[in-house]
Amino acid sequence: MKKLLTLISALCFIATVAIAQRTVSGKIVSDDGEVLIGANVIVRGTTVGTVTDFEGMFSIEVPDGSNELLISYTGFQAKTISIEGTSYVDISLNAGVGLEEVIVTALGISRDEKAIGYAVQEVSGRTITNANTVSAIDALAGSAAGLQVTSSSGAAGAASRIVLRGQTSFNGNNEALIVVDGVRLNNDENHSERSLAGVSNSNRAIDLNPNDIDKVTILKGAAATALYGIEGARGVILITTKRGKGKGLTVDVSTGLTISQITNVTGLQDQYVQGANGVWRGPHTGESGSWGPLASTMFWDGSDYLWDKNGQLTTTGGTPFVPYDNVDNFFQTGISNTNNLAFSGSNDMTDYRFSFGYTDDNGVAPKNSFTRYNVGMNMGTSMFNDKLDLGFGINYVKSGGRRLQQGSNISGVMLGLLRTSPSFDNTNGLDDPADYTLEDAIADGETANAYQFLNGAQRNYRGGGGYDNPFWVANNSPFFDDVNRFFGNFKASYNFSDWATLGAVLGTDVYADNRIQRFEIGSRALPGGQVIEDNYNYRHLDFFLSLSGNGNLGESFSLGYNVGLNLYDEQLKQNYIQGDGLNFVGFAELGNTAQVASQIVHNDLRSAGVYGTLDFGFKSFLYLTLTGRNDWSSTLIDPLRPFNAGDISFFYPSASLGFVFSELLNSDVMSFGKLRLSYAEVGGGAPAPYLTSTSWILPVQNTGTVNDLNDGWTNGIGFPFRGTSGFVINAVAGSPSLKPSRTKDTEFGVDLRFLNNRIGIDATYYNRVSEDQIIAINIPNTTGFQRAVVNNGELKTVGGEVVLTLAPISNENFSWNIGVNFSKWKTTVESLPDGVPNQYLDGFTGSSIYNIAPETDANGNTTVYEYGQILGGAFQRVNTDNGTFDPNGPYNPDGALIIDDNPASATYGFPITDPTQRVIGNPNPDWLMGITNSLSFKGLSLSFLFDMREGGDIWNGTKGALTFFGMSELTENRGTITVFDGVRASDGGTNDISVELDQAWYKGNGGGFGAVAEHFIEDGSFRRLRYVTLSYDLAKLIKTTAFSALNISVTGRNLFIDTPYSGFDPELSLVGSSSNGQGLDYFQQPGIKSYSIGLNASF
Amino acid sequence: MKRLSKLCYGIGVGCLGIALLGCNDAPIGADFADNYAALGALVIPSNVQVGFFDIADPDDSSIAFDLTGKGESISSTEVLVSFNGEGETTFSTVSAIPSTVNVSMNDVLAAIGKTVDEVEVGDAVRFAFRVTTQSGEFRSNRTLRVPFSCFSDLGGTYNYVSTNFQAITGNCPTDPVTGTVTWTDQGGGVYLTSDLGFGQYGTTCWNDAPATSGNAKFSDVCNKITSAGTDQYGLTYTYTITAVNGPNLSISWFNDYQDSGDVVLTRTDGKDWPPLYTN
Repeated sequence: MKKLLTLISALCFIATVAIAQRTVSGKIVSDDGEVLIGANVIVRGTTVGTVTDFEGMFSIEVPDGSNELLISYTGFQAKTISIEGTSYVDISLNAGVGLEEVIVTALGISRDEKAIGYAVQEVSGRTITNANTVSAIDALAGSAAGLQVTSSSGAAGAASRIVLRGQTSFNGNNEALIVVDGVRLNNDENHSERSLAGVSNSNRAIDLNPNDIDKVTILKGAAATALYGIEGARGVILITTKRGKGKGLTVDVSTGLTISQITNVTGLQDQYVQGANGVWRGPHTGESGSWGPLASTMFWDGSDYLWDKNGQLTTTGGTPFVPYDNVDNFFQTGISNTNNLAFSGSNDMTDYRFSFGYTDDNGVAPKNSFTRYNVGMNMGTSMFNDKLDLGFGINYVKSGGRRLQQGSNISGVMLGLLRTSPSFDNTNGLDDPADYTLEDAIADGETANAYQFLNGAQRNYRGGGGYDNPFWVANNSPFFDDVNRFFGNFKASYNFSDWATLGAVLGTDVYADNRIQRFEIGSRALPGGQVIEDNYNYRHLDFFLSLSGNGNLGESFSLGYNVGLNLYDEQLKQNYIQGDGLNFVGFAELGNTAQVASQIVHNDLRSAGVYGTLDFGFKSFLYLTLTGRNDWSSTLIDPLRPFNAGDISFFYPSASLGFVFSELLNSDVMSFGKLRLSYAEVGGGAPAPYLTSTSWILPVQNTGTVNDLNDGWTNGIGFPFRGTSGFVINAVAGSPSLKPSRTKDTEFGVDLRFLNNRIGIDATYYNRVSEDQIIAINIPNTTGFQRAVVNNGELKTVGGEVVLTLAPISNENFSWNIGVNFSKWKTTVESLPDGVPNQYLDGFTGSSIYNIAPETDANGNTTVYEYGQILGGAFQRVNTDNGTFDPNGPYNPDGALIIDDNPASATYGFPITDPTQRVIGNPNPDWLMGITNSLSFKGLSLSFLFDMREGGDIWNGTKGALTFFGMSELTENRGTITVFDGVRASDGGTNDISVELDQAWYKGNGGGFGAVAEHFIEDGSFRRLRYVTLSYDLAKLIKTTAFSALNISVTGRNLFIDTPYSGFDPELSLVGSSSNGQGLDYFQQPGIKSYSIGLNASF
Repeated sequence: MKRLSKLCYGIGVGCLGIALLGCNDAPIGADFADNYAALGALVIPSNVQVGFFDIADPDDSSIAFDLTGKGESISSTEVLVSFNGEGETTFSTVSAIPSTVNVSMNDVLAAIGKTVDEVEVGDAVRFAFRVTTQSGEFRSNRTLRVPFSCFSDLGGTYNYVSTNFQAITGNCPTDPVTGTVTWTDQGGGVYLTSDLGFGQYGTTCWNDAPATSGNAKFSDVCNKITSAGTDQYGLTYTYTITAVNGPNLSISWFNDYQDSGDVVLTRTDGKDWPPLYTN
């Protein structure tokens, strides 16, 4: 083999010498046929180079003796092409990161990838657009190791939570920091409602136009992100937007149409009608349950019945009853369309790109929509012989939509929909129930539309009581949000020499988020009606000033440095106005309410930081980077002491080492090999401003918060009360002497690539400790407070990642690339403040998410729990060696059930409840894996992503509640005689007591409102075909030169989901993106699958 | 062909990887809710006749109840009996379900090894059922508790004369108040009364409807009267029998809202009151 290679090399050399200097031209496209504009073409071994034009074409003068071109392009693997004996080449680049890549790191500092001592992954803009999602964050799911994306629901405009390598904070934000072109982007999910109810809000990353993204760099470990401060400890999603490339004007046009449908709804029964104990009790009775007789035994009697056009139900004959399919009748096919237009170009000095985007997403639930307009501009220019670089990027976004109440909420759309008995028709027999008005009903001589009688009373399956008819929610409880936002940056740098470049970046993000929630008179949650105007005004300024340089020190050493200053100022003002009691129907405006209360909330913070980095290189194989940053945070200011900058100052360092050992091996097999080692500390202020003081606040009536003046019986007192304003001291006691929290992160990794990069393995291990957490804990109410802020507690994350890249086939016509991302981590609660057994995060009575302090049993064995466990009711189980249950013993989920065998007991033959709340579920995944395949054959490309999650328990509260009401599919076994698999409580013998699974069981401990929740904990593992995209380059088909690119693509998302989870999509989380209490499923809107067709053209 | 083999190889590797990763960890909590297996059978006692063993008349005391089945087909049913939660003994075997079981008090006493003198009011026996099906032997979680008690026959409408009414209004009549009260037999010695206060609410004390509700009850256990009933306002009444004289029964009563009174109930059916008492 070696001889053969030597022979080939010799022949090449001879041939090269034989050829005189010449011009070589060609065209460069991506592996799916897309023209690559601005790709770098360099004659290997020389400084001669050029870039491709807007048609992907290049022409280059090749010096004598040169016979290879090095082709590179961001987001693609660089390729060396032989030009021996040819003057024209067609070149196709494969997506992925090559050896010669430059990586954008923290604060936008570009570095040679091989010099980096920590794990970094890049996702190309093409991957984002291939995913075909409204939110760019959703498009990242499965695309990188260590990254977990969770959506709050399948509703249009729903928020998505993005977490990198687990949690770093008990109370604070655990989502990755998003940085766009070097400037932080606010990604808050602002809301005033409890996380368990309300609408499915957006978080603000949804304002990004996926089509404007050139690439996403994912910085995971603290060493990679230390320069961003404590926010960076959560990981950073570094987004680089597209800029103008190639000479002349390029116009990119794309349009797409997507239809979507729900994927899965918790299984419902349709075999039994509304009623109790086997007896039909119709809507007029207000009956909540579907514990009536078998549907197959029932008939419509054809009588005049207010609640059903077919009459009442009877067993004595008539028209055979057919169950109504309320879910199918409610959900519709969602339709969304996306259109983008961009103008771009560049010359030797200037580049520009103007983009316009429009997305209109109509959800699968009636009246649910999300619309976004994007206008973007990126400009850059170089002057004074490229000494001065100026850049300017600005984006305007107008977004918002119409949303529906959901969750734990009797005016929630899913609660009313799923609890509706199959013997009640929510549509009232109408073909267009969502749009059929009372005026229509009057004109048609009807007594009601789908959800309302002519007298205004609500029409629902409980005779007007209970829960809102879902069509009522869609029409009479609308929530509107309207966001107007600017974000952008101005950059300037002057290159005095290789050793001195002075740079400045000023970025801002400003938005007004105006919301209005209307509850019409007659809404079940608010029968008197209510209007809430909730407006958020946010802005931040982010300023960086830096001096940097780099160069070689002799032949062996290289040095780089970057020192700088960062000033950050953030302001958030919330204007909340709540009007209760509408005076008359049909005009749900604040001016029509009887009582108006308001509050204004400010959340302002500032920070200042100085930072520096030093990069050392030795002979292109050993690289050391040292960083340090000192911050001053306003969140730590003690209001009781004279200001002293030293009190709010904290310093944190990092060091990373990269050893490219392949440089020493000169192996034909191993293309690249690097070891990475890093250690970083990151300090931070409080997770929110004002925690150093105890504030006075305006109480708002019946908000369900600790600030209610509520006695638990009445609705409490709202202020102003009879014209008098009032304030109460906050129930959360601040702590004036908070010190910075700190995260320490150690990372080790290896990056190996073989056979000219055809095979690549990148493995990382990390260990992260977050200590001195600033946390609000429960304290005895006798203190006058409910909670207090303290500086204590420790989280630890240990994890590993493997990124595997394969290129089984790569030639001019056909390429196949495989990317595998595998990640596994555990974030454990190492300690909570002394005396605090647990910390509530979110949830319901009997099934909540808590952080739990380590527990030590009588034998000295300590149990350390992962972050955010599900704490809830359980059954007694054998937890001792002698086959009995010890109430002080550990929870043993695999132990046999203890069965009540006392014949005198009401629960004779049934499992006995455990008196202690137990850790019954762990929402954290065991591991995640994404497998991407990209195949290209000439102009045809196919790419698909299999995404997998193993583990991650979910409390299926939706199923639990539906079981109570006799509506879950589980209750179709009512009347079944069974014997619980367990042991008798009295003697430990095998249980042999037959019991009936009847209404009493399911309305008790067998259902979701009993004392036990463990039987509704389900495995949230899944394997899904996240997306599959097939595209074709039409330009090749029609052989036109009018377009530099003309692609048509079809995409399917979530077309296949394999999961043991019986509820909604296991990837959904009731509490949205901002809550740390994940793992709850309770009547949120279901997930969706979609089919899209898209066309994009460049000319 | 070579490309095709590479393609097949790659897909095969990918599928194998997915298959290998297809193993599931069970969630922490129990996952039995969706795995209820149909197993065993119930024997359900119903249509109980009499409902107690009369310790005043043991030789003539007997009960009867029907047995029906649910679940698997039952080949035989063993009727078990226990006394006050003590150990069970086999009482009889029923070969076919449905069936009616007749049980005399003497047979029960023999089965539990007691004499009539060794049982008293408040004691009870419980009948349980062990069934045999094709899947094996099972116990039914439906049981029947039968107390030892006495026959009670206090149902009827009686005349009353109430005196000494008291109420916090301080506005009660001083003259006797007459009327009728109806005691409706609820079974098992439990009676629902039409007026716990024997006319007090209807007088100037309150000018209200009679003191009754669905829970306006008292019980007769071998002539011991216990009133734990509540009226429409949730007030609890306490009766004290002060005299039993032929057809006349004298009661003093009060509730927890400081209402009280004395009453004499007179039977008009020609019978005398049994020797009732209250403690």
